[in-house]
Amino acid sequence: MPSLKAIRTRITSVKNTRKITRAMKLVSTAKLRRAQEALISARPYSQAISRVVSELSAVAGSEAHELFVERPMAKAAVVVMTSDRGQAGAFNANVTKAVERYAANELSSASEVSLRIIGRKGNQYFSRRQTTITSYDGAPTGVTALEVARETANRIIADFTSGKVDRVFVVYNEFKSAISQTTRVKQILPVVPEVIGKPAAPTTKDPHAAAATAEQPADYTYEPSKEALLSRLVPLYVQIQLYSASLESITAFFAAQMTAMDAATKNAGDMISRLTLQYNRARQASITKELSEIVGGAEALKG
Amino acid sequence: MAAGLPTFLGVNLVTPKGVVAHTETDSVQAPGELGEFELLPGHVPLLTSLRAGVLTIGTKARARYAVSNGYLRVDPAGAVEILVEQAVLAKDVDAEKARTELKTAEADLAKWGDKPLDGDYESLQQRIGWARARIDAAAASAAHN
Repeated sequence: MPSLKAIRTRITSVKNTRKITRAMKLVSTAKLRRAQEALISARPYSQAISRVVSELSAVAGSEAHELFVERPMAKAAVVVMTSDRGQAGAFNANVTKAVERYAANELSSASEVSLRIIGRKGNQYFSRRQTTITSYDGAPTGVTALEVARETANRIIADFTSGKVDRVFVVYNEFKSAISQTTRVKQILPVVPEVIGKPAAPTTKDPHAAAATAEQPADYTYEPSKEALLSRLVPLYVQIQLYSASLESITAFFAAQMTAMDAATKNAGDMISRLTLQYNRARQASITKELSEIVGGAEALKG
Repeated sequence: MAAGLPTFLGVNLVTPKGVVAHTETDSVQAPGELGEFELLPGHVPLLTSLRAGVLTIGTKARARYAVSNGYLRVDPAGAVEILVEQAVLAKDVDAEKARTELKTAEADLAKWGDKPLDGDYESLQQRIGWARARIDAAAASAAHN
Protein backbone atom coordinates (compact mmCIF):
# COMPACT_ATOMS: atom_id res chain seq x y z
CA MET A 1 0.00 0.00 0.00
CA PRO A 2 1.37 3.47 -0.92
CA SER A 3 2.29 5.78 1.92
CA LEU A 4 -0.16 8.36 3.25
CA LYS A 5 1.91 11.17 1.80
CA ALA A 6 1.96 9.58 -1.67
CA ILE A 7 -1.82 9.25 -1.68
CA ARG A 8 -2.23 12.85 -0.51
CA THR A 9 -0.01 14.13 -3.35
CA ARG A 10 -1.99 12.04 -5.82
CA ILE A 11 -5.29 13.50 -4.61
CA THR A 12 -3.98 17.05 -4.95
CA SER A 13 -2.77 16.35 -8.46
CA VAL A 14 -6.07 14.81 -9.57
CA LYS A 15 -7.90 17.76 -8.04
CA ASN A 16 -5.78 20.11 -10.13
CA THR A 17 -6.51 18.07 -13.24
CA ARG A 18 -10.20 18.31 -12.48
CA LYS A 19 -9.93 22.07 -12.19
CA ILE A 20 -8.29 22.22 -15.62
CA THR A 21 -10.78 19.95 -17.36
CA ARG A 22 -13.68 21.81 -15.77
CA ALA A 23 -12.28 25.13 -17.00
CA MET A 24 -11.75 23.68 -20.49
CA LYS A 25 -15.32 22.46 -20.51
CA LEU A 26 -16.58 25.94 -19.68
CA VAL A 27 -14.40 27.48 -22.38
CA SER A 28 -15.60 25.07 -25.05
CA THR A 29 -19.21 25.60 -24.00
CA ALA A 30 -18.82 29.33 -24.55
CA LYS A 31 -17.03 28.82 -27.85
CA LEU A 32 -19.65 26.32 -28.95
CA ARG A 33 -22.35 28.93 -28.53
CA ARG A 34 -20.44 31.41 -30.68
CA ALA A 35 -19.73 28.78 -33.33
CA GLN A 36 -23.41 27.85 -33.46
CA GLU A 37 -24.31 31.49 -34.06
CA ALA A 38 -21.86 31.66 -36.97
CA LEU A 39 -23.42 28.51 -38.37
CA ILE A 40 -26.87 30.07 -38.28
CA SER A 41 -25.65 33.38 -39.73
CA ALA A 42 -24.29 31.60 -42.79
CA ARG A 43 -27.64 30.09 -43.69
CA PRO A 44 -29.37 32.96 -45.56
CA TYR A 45 -26.34 33.37 -47.81
CA SER A 46 -25.97 29.70 -48.52
CA GLN A 47 -29.70 29.27 -49.26
CA ALA A 48 -29.76 32.30 -51.56
CA ILE A 49 -26.74 31.25 -53.57
CA SER A 50 -28.02 27.68 -53.92
CA ARG A 51 -31.31 29.05 -55.20
CA VAL A 52 -29.70 31.37 -57.73
CA VAL A 53 -27.25 28.75 -58.99
CA SER A 54 -30.04 26.21 -59.44
CA GLU A 55 -32.28 28.75 -61.21
CA LEU A 56 -29.45 29.78 -63.47
CA SER A 57 -28.47 26.25 -64.34
CA ALA A 58 -32.15 25.50 -65.03
CA VAL A 59 -32.28 28.21 -67.69
CA ALA A 60 -28.76 27.76 -69.02
CA GLY A 61 -28.79 23.96 -69.03
CA SER A 62 -26.94 21.69 -66.64
CA GLU A 63 -23.95 21.29 -68.97
CA ALA A 64 -23.54 25.04 -69.20
CA HIS A 65 -20.64 25.17 -66.82
CA GLU A 66 -17.52 23.06 -66.68
CA LEU A 67 -17.85 22.57 -62.92
CA PHE A 68 -21.12 20.67 -63.52
CA VAL A 69 -19.66 18.20 -65.99
CA GLU A 70 -19.14 14.68 -64.73
CA ARG A 71 -16.05 12.86 -65.98
CA PRO A 72 -14.98 9.25 -65.46
CA MET A 73 -13.20 9.18 -62.13
CA ALA A 74 -9.49 8.57 -62.55
CA LYS A 75 -8.13 10.90 -59.93
CA ALA A 76 -9.96 11.93 -56.79
CA ALA A 77 -9.14 14.53 -54.18
CA VAL A 78 -10.39 14.67 -50.62
CA VAL A 79 -10.51 17.77 -48.46
CA VAL A 80 -9.97 16.53 -44.92
CA MET A 81 -11.25 18.77 -42.15
CA THR A 82 -9.73 18.12 -38.76
CA SER A 83 -8.73 20.31 -35.83
CA ASP A 84 -5.42 21.66 -34.61
CA ARG A 85 -5.96 20.51 -31.06
CA GLY A 86 -7.02 17.27 -29.48
CA GLN A 87 -8.80 16.66 -26.20
CA ALA A 88 -12.02 16.17 -28.08
CA GLY A 89 -12.54 12.44 -27.90
CA ALA A 90 -12.71 10.64 -31.23
CA PHE A 91 -13.32 13.85 -33.20
CA ASN A 92 -10.24 13.61 -35.44
CA ALA A 93 -10.02 9.81 -35.46
CA ASN A 94 -13.57 9.68 -36.88
CA VAL A 95 -12.56 11.87 -39.81
CA THR A 96 -9.28 10.11 -40.60
CA LYS A 97 -10.99 6.73 -40.36
CA ALA A 98 -13.81 7.86 -42.64
CA VAL A 99 -11.28 9.13 -45.20
CA GLU A 100 -9.43 5.81 -45.21
CA ARG A 101 -12.63 3.82 -45.44
CA TYR A 102 -13.96 5.98 -48.27
CA ALA A 103 -10.69 5.77 -50.17
CA ALA A 104 -10.62 1.99 -49.80
CA ASN A 105 -14.24 1.40 -50.81
CA GLU A 106 -16.01 4.08 -52.83
CA LEU A 107 -12.82 5.48 -54.32
CA SER A 108 -11.16 2.12 -55.04
CA SER A 109 -11.71 2.66 -58.78
CA ALA A 110 -9.69 5.88 -58.70
CA SER A 111 -6.08 5.46 -59.73
CA GLU A 112 -4.96 8.15 -57.38
CA VAL A 113 -6.40 9.76 -54.28
CA SER A 114 -4.79 12.96 -53.09
CA LEU A 115 -5.55 14.79 -49.88
CA ARG A 116 -5.89 18.44 -49.08
CA ILE A 117 -5.64 18.57 -45.34
CA ILE A 118 -7.02 21.23 -43.06
CA GLY A 119 -6.05 20.91 -39.41
CA ARG A 120 -2.82 19.82 -37.73
CA LYS A 121 -4.21 16.54 -36.39
CA GLY A 122 -5.12 15.27 -39.85
CA ASN A 123 -1.68 16.19 -41.12
CA GLN A 124 0.03 14.37 -38.25
CA TYR A 125 -1.97 11.26 -38.99
CA PHE A 126 -1.65 11.15 -42.78
CA SER A 127 1.94 12.37 -43.12
CA ARG A 128 3.06 9.16 -41.38
CA ARG A 129 1.18 7.03 -43.90
CA GLN A 130 1.41 6.24 -47.59
CA THR A 131 -0.70 9.11 -48.86
CA THR A 132 -0.36 11.98 -51.29
CA ILE A 133 -0.85 15.26 -49.48
CA THR A 134 -1.30 18.13 -51.94
CA SER A 135 -1.67 20.86 -49.37
CA TYR A 136 -1.90 21.43 -45.66
CA ASP A 137 -3.40 24.39 -43.81
CA GLY A 138 -3.99 24.97 -40.12
CA ALA A 139 -7.51 24.52 -38.82
CA PRO A 140 -9.64 27.61 -39.35
CA THR A 141 -11.18 29.63 -36.56
CA GLY A 142 -14.44 31.52 -36.89
CA VAL A 143 -12.44 34.51 -38.17
CA THR A 144 -10.27 32.75 -40.76
CA ALA A 145 -12.80 30.16 -41.94
CA LEU A 146 -13.98 32.26 -44.87
CA GLU A 147 -10.48 32.88 -46.13
CA VAL A 148 -9.44 29.25 -45.78
CA ALA A 149 -12.63 28.23 -47.62
CA ARG A 150 -11.93 30.72 -50.41
CA GLU A 151 -8.36 29.57 -50.91
CA THR A 152 -9.27 25.91 -50.80
CA ALA A 153 -12.15 26.48 -53.22
CA ASN A 154 -9.90 28.31 -55.68
CA ARG A 155 -7.35 25.50 -55.49
CA ILE A 156 -9.76 22.64 -56.05
CA ILE A 157 -11.53 24.52 -58.84
CA ALA A 158 -8.19 25.09 -60.59
CA ASP A 159 -7.30 21.41 -60.09
CA PHE A 160 -10.64 20.33 -61.49
CA THR A 161 -10.65 22.60 -64.53
CA SER A 162 -7.05 21.75 -65.41
CA GLY A 163 -7.91 18.05 -65.22
CA LYS A 164 -5.63 17.26 -62.27
CA VAL A 165 -8.59 15.75 -60.43
CA ASP A 166 -11.96 14.44 -61.59
CA ARG A 167 -13.83 14.40 -58.29
CA VAL A 168 -13.46 16.37 -55.10
CA PHE A 169 -14.95 15.33 -51.79
CA VAL A 170 -14.92 16.88 -48.37
CA VAL A 171 -14.89 14.86 -45.16
CA TYR A 172 -15.88 16.63 -41.97
CA ASN A 173 -17.74 16.28 -38.70
CA GLU A 174 -21.26 17.57 -38.84
CA PHE A 175 -22.76 19.18 -35.78
CA LYS A 176 -26.08 17.56 -34.96
CA SER A 177 -26.38 18.50 -31.32
CA ALA A 178 -24.11 19.23 -28.40
CA ILE A 179 -23.85 15.52 -27.67
CA SER A 180 -23.89 14.08 -31.16
CA GLN A 181 -21.68 14.67 -34.17
CA THR A 182 -21.60 12.60 -37.33
CA THR A 183 -18.86 12.28 -39.90
CA ARG A 184 -20.02 13.25 -43.36
CA VAL A 185 -18.58 12.72 -46.82
CA LYS A 186 -19.85 15.18 -49.39
CA GLN A 187 -19.09 15.58 -53.06
CA ILE A 188 -18.01 19.11 -53.89
CA LEU A 189 -16.95 18.82 -57.53
CA PRO A 190 -18.46 18.32 -59.99
CA VAL A 191 -21.30 20.23 -58.37
CA VAL A 192 -23.83 17.64 -57.25
CA PRO A 193 -27.06 17.10 -59.19
CA GLU A 194 -29.35 18.12 -56.31
CA VAL A 195 -28.49 21.71 -57.15
CA ILE A 196 -28.52 21.44 -60.90
CA GLY A 197 -31.63 21.83 -62.95
CA LYS A 198 -34.29 21.92 -60.28
CA PRO A 199 -35.02 25.08 -58.34
CA ALA A 200 -34.62 24.71 -54.61
CA ALA A 201 -37.76 24.62 -52.51
CA PRO A 202 -38.89 28.17 -51.84
CA THR A 203 -38.32 29.37 -48.31
CA THR A 204 -41.55 29.95 -46.46
CA LYS A 205 -40.18 33.16 -44.99
CA ASP A 206 -39.96 34.91 -48.33
CA PRO A 207 -43.15 34.77 -50.42
CA HIS A 208 -41.73 37.20 -52.99
CA ALA A 209 -38.89 34.86 -53.72
CA ALA A 210 -41.30 31.97 -54.11
CA ALA A 211 -43.34 33.93 -56.62
CA ALA A 212 -40.16 34.83 -58.45
CA THR A 213 -39.16 31.19 -58.72
CA ALA A 214 -42.54 30.34 -60.20
CA GLU A 215 -42.24 33.05 -62.83
CA GLN A 216 -38.80 31.92 -63.87
CA PRO A 217 -37.25 32.11 -66.36
CA ALA A 218 -39.23 34.37 -68.67
CA ASP A 219 -38.52 37.94 -67.68
CA TYR A 220 -35.02 38.17 -66.24
CA THR A 221 -32.24 40.29 -67.66
CA TYR A 222 -28.88 38.59 -67.27
CA GLU A 223 -25.74 40.65 -67.20
CA PRO A 224 -23.27 39.71 -68.59
CA SER A 225 -24.57 36.39 -70.03
CA LYS A 226 -26.06 33.41 -68.21
CA GLU A 227 -22.89 31.45 -68.85
CA ALA A 228 -20.61 34.23 -67.62
CA LEU A 229 -22.77 34.62 -64.54
CA LEU A 230 -22.51 30.92 -63.82
CA SER A 231 -18.75 31.03 -64.07
CA ARG A 232 -18.75 33.78 -61.42
CA LEU A 233 -21.35 32.28 -59.12
CA VAL A 234 -20.50 28.58 -59.15
CA PRO A 235 -17.10 29.23 -57.51
CA LEU A 236 -18.91 31.22 -54.82
CA TYR A 237 -21.25 28.28 -54.36
CA VAL A 238 -18.32 25.87 -54.01
CA GLN A 239 -16.73 28.23 -51.53
CA ILE A 240 -19.83 28.46 -49.36
CA GLN A 241 -20.07 24.65 -49.37
CA LEU A 242 -16.57 24.49 -47.92
CA TYR A 243 -17.27 27.37 -45.57
CA SER A 244 -20.37 25.66 -44.19
CA ALA A 245 -18.44 22.43 -43.81
CA SER A 246 -15.70 24.15 -41.86
CA LEU A 247 -18.21 25.93 -39.63
CA GLU A 248 -19.85 22.58 -38.98
CA SER A 249 -16.45 21.17 -38.19
CA ILE A 250 -15.57 24.00 -35.80
CA THR A 251 -18.91 23.71 -34.00
CA ALA A 252 -18.68 19.93 -33.82
CA PHE A 253 -15.17 20.25 -32.43
CA PHE A 254 -16.26 22.40 -29.50
CA ALA A 255 -19.21 20.11 -28.87
CA ALA A 256 -16.91 17.07 -28.87
CA GLN A 257 -14.43 18.85 -26.64
CA MET A 258 -17.18 19.85 -24.25
CA THR A 259 -18.40 16.26 -23.97
CA ALA A 260 -14.86 14.90 -23.59
CA MET A 261 -13.99 17.43 -20.90
CA ASP A 262 -17.23 16.77 -19.08
CA ALA A 263 -16.41 13.06 -19.01
CA ALA A 264 -12.86 13.84 -17.86
CA THR A 265 -14.17 16.03 -15.03
CA LYS A 266 -16.50 13.22 -13.90
CA ASN A 267 -13.72 10.66 -14.07
CA ALA A 268 -11.43 12.89 -12.03
CA GLY A 269 -14.21 13.18 -9.42
CA ASP A 270 -14.57 9.40 -9.28
CA MET A 271 -10.85 8.99 -8.92
CA ILE A 272 -10.72 11.54 -6.11
CA SER A 273 -13.39 9.69 -4.11
CA ARG A 274 -11.57 6.37 -4.70
CA LEU A 275 -8.28 7.85 -3.55
CA THR A 276 -9.90 9.53 -0.55
CA LEU A 277 -11.32 6.18 0.51
CA GLN A 278 -7.90 4.61 0.11
CA TYR A 279 -6.36 7.48 2.05
CA ASN A 280 -8.82 7.12 4.93
CA ARG A 281 -8.25 3.38 5.06
CA ALA A 282 -4.51 3.84 5.14
CA ARG A 283 -4.82 6.45 7.88
CA GLN A 284 -7.09 4.18 9.94
CA ALA A 285 -4.67 1.31 9.47
CA SER A 286 -1.77 3.39 10.73
CA ILE A 287 -3.78 4.58 13.76
CA THR A 288 -4.75 1.01 14.59
CA LYS A 289 -1.15 -0.05 14.19
CA GLU A 290 0.10 2.69 16.49
CA LEU A 291 -2.55 1.89 19.10
CA SER A 292 -1.76 -1.79 19.10
CA GLU A 293 1.92 -0.93 19.46
CA ILE A 294 1.16 1.25 22.51
CA VAL A 295 -1.09 -1.40 24.02
CA GLY A 296 1.53 -4.05 23.30
CA GLY A 297 4.24 -1.90 24.91
CA ALA A 298 2.11 -1.31 28.03
CA GLU A 299 1.39 -5.01 28.31
CA ALA A 300 5.09 -5.74 28.11
CA LEU A 301 5.92 -3.20 30.85
CA LYS A 302 3.22 -4.65 33.13
CA GLY A 303 4.61 -8.12 32.81
CA MET B 1 -48.05 46.11 -60.71
CA ALA B 2 -51.46 47.58 -60.04
CA ALA B 3 -50.28 50.22 -57.61
CA GLY B 4 -48.12 51.87 -60.27
CA LEU B 5 -44.40 52.18 -60.06
CA PRO B 6 -42.99 51.47 -56.65
CA THR B 7 -41.17 54.39 -55.08
CA PHE B 8 -38.64 52.49 -53.05
CA LEU B 9 -36.36 49.49 -53.20
CA GLY B 10 -36.30 46.82 -50.53
CA VAL B 11 -32.66 45.93 -50.21
CA ASN B 12 -31.18 42.89 -48.54
CA LEU B 13 -27.38 42.78 -48.27
CA VAL B 14 -26.19 39.34 -47.26
CA THR B 15 -22.74 37.87 -46.60
CA PRO B 16 -21.72 34.45 -45.22
CA LYS B 17 -21.27 36.15 -41.85
CA GLY B 18 -24.94 37.13 -41.80
CA VAL B 19 -27.36 39.76 -43.05
CA VAL B 20 -25.47 43.08 -43.15
CA ALA B 21 -28.30 45.42 -44.14
CA HIS B 22 -32.02 45.05 -44.60
CA THR B 23 -33.51 48.42 -45.53
CA GLU B 24 -35.79 50.35 -47.85
CA THR B 25 -34.11 52.94 -50.01
CA ASP B 26 -34.51 55.02 -53.17
CA SER B 27 -31.41 53.92 -55.06
CA VAL B 28 -28.51 51.49 -55.12
CA GLN B 29 -25.15 52.11 -56.77
CA ALA B 30 -23.24 48.91 -57.31
CA PRO B 31 -19.93 47.86 -58.86
CA GLY B 32 -21.18 45.61 -61.68
CA GLU B 33 -19.06 43.22 -63.63
CA LEU B 34 -19.39 45.44 -66.70
CA GLY B 35 -19.08 48.71 -64.81
CA GLU B 36 -20.64 50.82 -62.11
CA PHE B 37 -24.42 51.12 -62.33
CA GLU B 38 -27.31 52.70 -60.48
CA LEU B 39 -30.52 50.94 -59.70
CA LEU B 40 -33.79 52.83 -59.19
CA PRO B 41 -37.22 51.68 -58.00
CA GLY B 42 -39.28 49.80 -60.58
CA HIS B 43 -36.31 48.12 -62.25
CA VAL B 44 -37.00 45.08 -64.42
CA PRO B 45 -35.97 41.70 -62.99
CA LEU B 46 -32.21 41.47 -63.23
CA LEU B 47 -29.42 39.18 -62.25
CA THR B 48 -25.91 40.54 -62.51
CA SER B 49 -22.55 39.73 -61.03
CA LEU B 50 -20.60 42.20 -58.93
CA ARG B 51 -16.88 42.68 -58.67
CA ALA B 52 -15.08 44.02 -55.63
CA GLY B 53 -15.78 47.73 -55.19
CA VAL B 54 -17.90 50.31 -53.44
CA LEU B 55 -21.63 49.78 -52.94
CA THR B 56 -23.79 52.77 -52.02
CA ILE B 57 -27.32 52.39 -50.74
CA GLY B 58 -29.53 55.52 -50.91
CA THR B 59 -28.99 59.02 -52.33
CA LYS B 60 -29.67 61.16 -49.26
CA ALA B 61 -29.07 58.98 -46.26
CA ARG B 62 -26.17 57.11 -47.70
CA ALA B 63 -24.79 53.86 -46.45
CA ARG B 64 -21.53 53.09 -48.19
CA TYR B 65 -19.97 49.63 -48.12
CA ALA B 66 -16.82 48.05 -49.40
CA VAL B 67 -17.90 44.79 -51.01
CA SER B 68 -16.11 41.87 -52.65
CA ASN B 69 -17.45 39.77 -55.51
CA GLY B 70 -20.98 38.43 -55.55
CA TYR B 71 -24.23 39.14 -57.33
CA LEU B 72 -27.18 41.50 -57.34
CA ARG B 73 -30.65 40.26 -58.13
CA VAL B 74 -33.86 42.19 -58.61
CA ASP B 75 -36.83 39.86 -58.44
CA PRO B 76 -40.16 40.48 -60.22
CA ALA B 77 -41.61 41.92 -56.99
CA GLY B 78 -38.89 44.56 -57.02
CA ALA B 79 -36.94 43.30 -54.02
CA VAL B 80 -33.18 43.64 -54.34
CA GLU B 81 -31.00 40.85 -53.07
CA ILE B 82 -27.29 41.60 -52.91
CA LEU B 83 -25.05 38.69 -52.07
CA VAL B 84 -21.38 39.38 -51.58
CA GLU B 85 -18.65 37.33 -50.06
CA GLN B 86 -17.51 40.16 -47.81
CA ALA B 87 -18.95 43.54 -46.94
CA VAL B 88 -17.92 46.21 -44.47
CA LEU B 89 -19.30 49.68 -43.79
CA ALA B 90 -16.99 52.28 -45.34
CA LYS B 91 -16.57 54.16 -42.07
CA ASP B 92 -15.52 50.95 -40.32
CA VAL B 93 -12.79 50.24 -42.86
CA ASP B 94 -9.29 50.10 -41.47
CA ALA B 95 -7.68 51.82 -44.47
CA GLU B 96 -4.18 51.47 -43.03
CA LYS B 97 -4.57 47.73 -42.71
CA ALA B 98 -6.06 47.48 -46.22
CA ARG B 99 -3.07 49.39 -47.63
CA THR B 100 -0.62 47.06 -45.89
CA GLU B 101 -2.51 44.04 -47.21
CA LEU B 102 -2.51 45.52 -50.71
CA LYS B 103 1.24 46.12 -50.51
CA THR B 104 2.04 42.55 -49.42
CA ALA B 105 -0.34 41.09 -52.00
CA GLU B 106 1.17 43.20 -54.79
CA ALA B 107 4.65 42.20 -53.69
CA ASP B 108 3.57 38.56 -53.89
CA LEU B 109 2.13 39.21 -57.34
CA ALA B 110 5.39 40.80 -58.52
CA LYS B 111 7.26 37.73 -57.33
CA TRP B 112 4.88 35.37 -59.12
CA GLY B 113 6.97 35.31 -62.33
CA ASP B 114 6.14 32.26 -64.45
CA LYS B 115 4.62 30.12 -61.74
CA PRO B 116 1.37 28.56 -63.00
CA LEU B 117 -1.70 30.80 -62.76
CA ASP B 118 -3.52 28.36 -60.48
CA GLY B 119 -6.01 28.65 -57.64
CA ASP B 120 -3.54 30.44 -55.38
CA TYR B 121 -3.10 33.09 -58.08
CA GLU B 122 -6.86 33.56 -58.17
CA SER B 123 -6.90 33.93 -54.35
CA LEU B 124 -4.18 36.56 -54.60
CA GLN B 125 -6.14 38.51 -57.22
CA GLN B 126 -9.20 38.41 -54.98
CA ARG B 127 -7.16 39.65 -52.02
CA ILE B 128 -5.94 42.59 -54.11
CA GLY B 129 -9.48 43.37 -55.28
CA TRP B 130 -10.83 43.32 -51.75
CA ALA B 131 -8.01 45.52 -50.41
CA ARG B 132 -8.59 48.07 -53.23
CA ALA B 133 -12.34 48.04 -52.60
CA ARG B 134 -11.78 48.89 -48.93
CA ILE B 135 -9.30 51.67 -49.74
CA ASP B 136 -11.73 53.16 -52.30
CA ALA B 137 -14.64 52.94 -49.88
CA ALA B 138 -12.66 54.65 -47.14
CA ALA B 139 -11.58 57.39 -49.55
CA ALA B 140 -15.12 57.94 -50.85
CA SER B 141 -16.45 58.06 -47.33
CA ALA B 142 -13.80 60.65 -46.33
CA ALA B 143 -14.52 62.79 -49.42
CA HIS B 144 -18.30 62.97 -48.85
CA ASN B 145 -18.50 63.48 -45.14
